Amino acid sequence: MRKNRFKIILIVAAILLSLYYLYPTYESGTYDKKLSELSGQPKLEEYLQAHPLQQLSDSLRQSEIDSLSQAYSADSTKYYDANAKAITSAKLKRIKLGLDLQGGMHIVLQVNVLKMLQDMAKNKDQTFNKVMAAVKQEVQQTHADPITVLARQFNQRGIRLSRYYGDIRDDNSKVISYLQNQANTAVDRAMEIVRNRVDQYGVSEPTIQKQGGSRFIVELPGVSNEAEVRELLQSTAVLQFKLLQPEDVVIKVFKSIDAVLAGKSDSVANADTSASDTTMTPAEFARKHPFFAIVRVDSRSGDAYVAETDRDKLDRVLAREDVRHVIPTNFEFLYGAKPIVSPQGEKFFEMYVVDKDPLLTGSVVTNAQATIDPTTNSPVVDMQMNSQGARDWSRITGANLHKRIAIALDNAVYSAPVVQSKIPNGSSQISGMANMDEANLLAIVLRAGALPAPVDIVEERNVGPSLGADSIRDGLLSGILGLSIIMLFMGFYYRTGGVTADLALLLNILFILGVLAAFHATLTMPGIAGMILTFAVAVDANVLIYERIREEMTTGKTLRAAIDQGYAKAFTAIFDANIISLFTGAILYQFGTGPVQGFALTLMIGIVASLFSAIVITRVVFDIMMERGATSINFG
Amino acid sequence: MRFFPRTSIDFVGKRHIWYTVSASLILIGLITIAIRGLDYGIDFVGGTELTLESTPALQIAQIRSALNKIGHGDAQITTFGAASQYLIRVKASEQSTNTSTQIMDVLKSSYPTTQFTLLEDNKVGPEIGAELRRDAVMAIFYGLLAILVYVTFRFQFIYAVGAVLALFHDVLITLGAVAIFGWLVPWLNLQIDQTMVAAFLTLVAYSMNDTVVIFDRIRENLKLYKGENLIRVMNRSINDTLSRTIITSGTAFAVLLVLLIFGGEVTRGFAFAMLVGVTTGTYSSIYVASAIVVDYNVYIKKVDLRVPATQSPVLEIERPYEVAAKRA
Repeated sequence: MRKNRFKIILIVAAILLSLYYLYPTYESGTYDKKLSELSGQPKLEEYLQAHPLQQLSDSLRQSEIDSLSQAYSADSTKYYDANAKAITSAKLKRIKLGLDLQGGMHIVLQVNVLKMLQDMAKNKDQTFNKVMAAVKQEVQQTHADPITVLARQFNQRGIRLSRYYGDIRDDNSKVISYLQNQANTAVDRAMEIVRNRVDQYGVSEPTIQKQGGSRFIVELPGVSNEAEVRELLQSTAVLQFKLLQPEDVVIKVFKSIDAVLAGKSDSVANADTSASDTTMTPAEFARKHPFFAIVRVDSRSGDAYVAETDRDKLDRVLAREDVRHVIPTNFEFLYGAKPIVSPQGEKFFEMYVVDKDPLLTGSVVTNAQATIDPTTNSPVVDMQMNSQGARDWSRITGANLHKRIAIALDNAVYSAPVVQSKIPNGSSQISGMANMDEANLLAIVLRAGALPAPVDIVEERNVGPSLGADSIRDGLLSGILGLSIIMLFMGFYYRTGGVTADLALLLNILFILGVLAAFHATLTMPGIAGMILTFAVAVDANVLIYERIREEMTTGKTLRAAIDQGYAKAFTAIFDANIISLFTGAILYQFGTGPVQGFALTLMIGIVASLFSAIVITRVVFDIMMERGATSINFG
Repeated sequence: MRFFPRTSIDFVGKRHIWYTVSASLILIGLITIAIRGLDYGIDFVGGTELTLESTPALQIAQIRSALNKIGHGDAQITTFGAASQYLIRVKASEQSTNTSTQIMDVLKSSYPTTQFTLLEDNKVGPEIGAELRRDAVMAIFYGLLAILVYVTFRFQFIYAVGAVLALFHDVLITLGAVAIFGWLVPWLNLQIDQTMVAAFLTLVAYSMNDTVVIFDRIRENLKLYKGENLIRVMNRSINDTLSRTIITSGTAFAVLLVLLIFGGEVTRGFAFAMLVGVTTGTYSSIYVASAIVVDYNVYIKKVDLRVPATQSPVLEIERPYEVAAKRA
């Protein structure tokens, strides 16, 4: 015992540490189980089986299901609230399951520098578009750095870059370094924008991680609505200031559209179209004025609204060939970013008709904060612009006094303030927010959208939840089966030695899981495969040792001498072989991505853990057996 | 209990026959690759790939005719696992940002009474594909380099050469097997993707592991029997480790077989490549790695290694302790 005291302490410590790190995983599992028991999901499904909601429209059915599930999940919500802290802390410390095991989306986004250059240009005239097209073509062919190509293309034509970028007085090198800087920081901005959006989207445990210079990975566990996520991530966060079209012109265009839809020639579109018309039944009104049945115009303010459920319909109408004919080419239809909820609970979006060409892009905005205006005691947003922007802004506000300018991020309008006065110094104040939250949101939008950072989805992996569950089941099944085969064989072939090796193998699994938990590593399907492979390699060490011990025992050596010699002689082979495996694992980890890294990590952890258990633990067991007076140990 | 009592098989003497066998196997594989090409997954060439399930099951032709409507009639469509699960792959050059949504939509509208579930959906841009390919090649290159350096350091340079050539041998044979079986047995889902690269690196590690165990015994026996004929020592060493070789390979094989059958779609290709790899890895330790060390001595260093007729080609039990055991 005394001889092995240090080793025994080490083994016990390793076991205790593993258990300590694994406890949160167990705890989290218990909480999840409890929560799903309380959630009433089965009861809800039962109810839905009995009461099919087929007569309702899709959106209504969904909202009905949502409210029902809320009612059924009241218990689980209460339980969650009571234990929120413990649940979150356990969740943070548990072994995470990879997306391939729990389902979800893995997306790699890359900043599109070409598009960024296009978006950042101050004025996109014919010359610019021509140069840009040439740049695009060259970059696509040669994969050269877009900014270098852009600079050269402009140089060849003898055009100063400052005509389109930066301050007009800047020389080319200054503009280039400015653009380079923007390109380099674009990924950080894009990440910030995406993080912001993902948070708003409400995904639990999203991961947003930078990869190299211009890419980042977004992982959304449990999310499978691809179209929505794509829109969420890829819509380039571009902040623009767009002038609202004059109300009277807008109404005229609306009437023309209405006439086209109703099948009348647009010259006679002069019927009374106010929504307050009560002489017609809704059906009759919809027939006579199909457009105004979708778009409701407030007769006093002139604001137009569309119901959430009608948005798709409206988009289709506006895309119609004959309708497009009556819409002036510089018209653009934008929706408000957040819906307005009517007292009846119906959601409406305000529709803004704006000038297609932005007055200004958000790139001139340098900062924005939400504050309380001390004089009116209401929330406001202060916005600052750079000198170039301030000059433009001064001209723009001067020319558009008392007109409305929409602030749109990704073409979703967050606010459309009225220009009260000419703003000479680039420092504007936007008021009219209902509360501080709204003001904060606008400030965030102004900041995040201030500089364009368009991104492309370069890789997208989407695992459905059912496949994830299948993978877990398959992984567990093959793991347990593989393990049983090995353990039975070892016990059968090497008898006492084999059983000892089996014990070491089980502890090995505990150690691997413990280390995974301690590193907050993610367990993936290839990771499980790596672990199963580790089992096979782990017994190899014991096979080598036991074969040697058997050889030594045939010579009539004492048990102790045979065991000593067996371990000593087998050691060099085990050591060399495992060092090489460890190298391979490290190289895989270095060059691999995602699933391969998961595999490499478990393989490396597995090698170290199995060396420890196969060499140290089995040896201690045999030593103890001998100290207890065993004169022979059966190695088969 | 012993499966393999002390054997005395002349492994090294028959190495030339096995060179032919190895060369033929590699050639068959390479010819298949040349004709059929390797089935690269979207990881390496980019593209959109989706796995979906339909109830009731559809014919592949039915799916193809639906895809034709949106211009993806030439997509690769195979059943995947169960008969009602399909894998649809669209080339990178033909994919758009929402190819998978388009495909799901056109399927749903073409067969309104059939229910479609999207199981998995992957989209990789062509640039990423090129990068992953480069990384994979780098990983394998650095892996081999590390092995070459380590084995040279621990043994001798020629042993390292033998070991690395054995690895090339294993990788080529496995690659050929992947090409042939991927073509003949679509169920295996064999495509060259990131998981497959992991499988190749693992089989490299496994094969190396096996080779090192034999080399270690050769190193030990050469020290014990200085001046003894290398072929005889080598044969002795291979026979000494045979029991271990077969038991370890056997357990690894059994575990991988379980993984192949029960591990599910994701790891099937991995398990298959590893099964082939474990087999050739075990074989190549003897007939490639060790054999090359022998032939280097015979043909380059011109050492006369012919075993006289009076001697057994396998060095026989001469260890002092074994003699003692006999006496006792």
